[in-house]
Amino acid sequence: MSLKNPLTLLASITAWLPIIIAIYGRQKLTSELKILLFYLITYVIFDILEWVTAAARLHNAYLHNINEWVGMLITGWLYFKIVESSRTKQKVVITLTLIAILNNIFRFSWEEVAGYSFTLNKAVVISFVFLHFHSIITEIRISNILKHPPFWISAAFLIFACGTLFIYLFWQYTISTTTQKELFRLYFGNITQLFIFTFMILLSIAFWTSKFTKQNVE
Amino acid sequence: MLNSSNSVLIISGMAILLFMGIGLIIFVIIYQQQQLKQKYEQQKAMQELKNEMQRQMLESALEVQEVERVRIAKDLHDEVGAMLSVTKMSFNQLLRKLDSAEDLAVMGKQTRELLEQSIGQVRRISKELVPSTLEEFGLILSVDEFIQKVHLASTSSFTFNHEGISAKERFDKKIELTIYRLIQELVNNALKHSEAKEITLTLTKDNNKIIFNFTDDGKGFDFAAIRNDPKSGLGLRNMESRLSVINGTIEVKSAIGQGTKTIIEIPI
Repeated sequence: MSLKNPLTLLASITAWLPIIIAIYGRQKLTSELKILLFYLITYVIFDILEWVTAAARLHNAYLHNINEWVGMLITGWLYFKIVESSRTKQKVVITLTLIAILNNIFRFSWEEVAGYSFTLNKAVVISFVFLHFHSIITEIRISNILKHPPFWISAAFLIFACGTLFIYLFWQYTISTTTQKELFRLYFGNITQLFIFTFMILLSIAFWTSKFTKQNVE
Repeated sequence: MLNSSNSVLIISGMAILLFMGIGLIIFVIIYQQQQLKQKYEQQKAMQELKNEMQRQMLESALEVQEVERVRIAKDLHDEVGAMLSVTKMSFNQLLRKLDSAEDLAVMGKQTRELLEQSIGQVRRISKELVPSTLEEFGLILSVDEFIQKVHLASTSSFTFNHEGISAKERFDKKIELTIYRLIQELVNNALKHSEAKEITLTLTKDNNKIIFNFTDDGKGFDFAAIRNDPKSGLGLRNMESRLSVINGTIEVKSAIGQGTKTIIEIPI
């Protein structure tokens, strides 16, 4: 698979980059970044399991769904911390996370990638990012936004969600078991992996900027 | 199954959404920086307003101080001085009647001298409190008069130059009074603390500012240490406060054993 889809391998390797940076600067990690590190560790564990099952030629769409389910839960927790300056926003985050989690449970599939659940998750994540960006531009507490880790976290989630939302929305045509191999390779093997790669790079920047947090927030 | 036109639609949708996402990120960066800039400008304006209020309060305090000085000087001159003069006249009459008694006459003469000294002291204090020469004849003549008086009372030599300013030239009342008070403070410091033998004062008018140079050959001082000492730096801070009211600046160059050079610039 790695030779046929080099981007898949690259995306999986890149997932280690933010973890390495986080461990290297672990003393300066804020609570949000610790949650993000936890998110990445669970992601990497599921990714390894997916690689192992794929190598053994076992069906593993359910692993992908469980990974997304766990990821959504941690993302909700992460944004609950990120928007902690507003109780209303925290309530919105809890509500949307619960809706997404329940949807993931009810629409769970062992055989196929749960495309509609993924789509809703991406829409919920975009909403979280909107809430966070609203806080950034109304509270004006950050002196340099480019050195603010939560901004890079939101930028990563937004680009990943925007880039992959349509793939999951039309999952029956793009990444289902009935999709043509070439199209599956295009959407999942290339485009999705490219966004995972971008996502991981942006999260690495978030961890790297954690050293500026103290002098950057008023 | 997905045909090629559907694939184009999906990829187009993805691209549009992605561009919107990237656009939003760029918007947040630019908007946040603008908001931040606005916030700093507001803070700066607030600080300037606060400084201006402090300056005005200081100006009012100095004005009140001058008014109080005038009142004290007037009271001293008109009331205490007058009373002492009347007492002296009355005492002179009494002394004439005591001419026969020699011992009493000697004591009387001593008392009269004390009275004369008291009258002289009251006049001197009264004049020092309010520089009447400054109000009537302007800065140059009043500084000249002040230096002559100090020169008589001390062993130091004084040099006073004024370049580009005629003897009778007048400036804003606040500027004249500030320069006069600063000269008083600097001369006092040079004689009292610095033990200077030679003191040079130069007043220069240059386009739209007055430059005042004050140099003494005294023992000098550690400027940074004095500046940060709340007790001994009081005179210097007073001078800075007075200058801040008229937007003036002060620069002091001094080192132990090397005298002191003070440069004051005041916009006119």
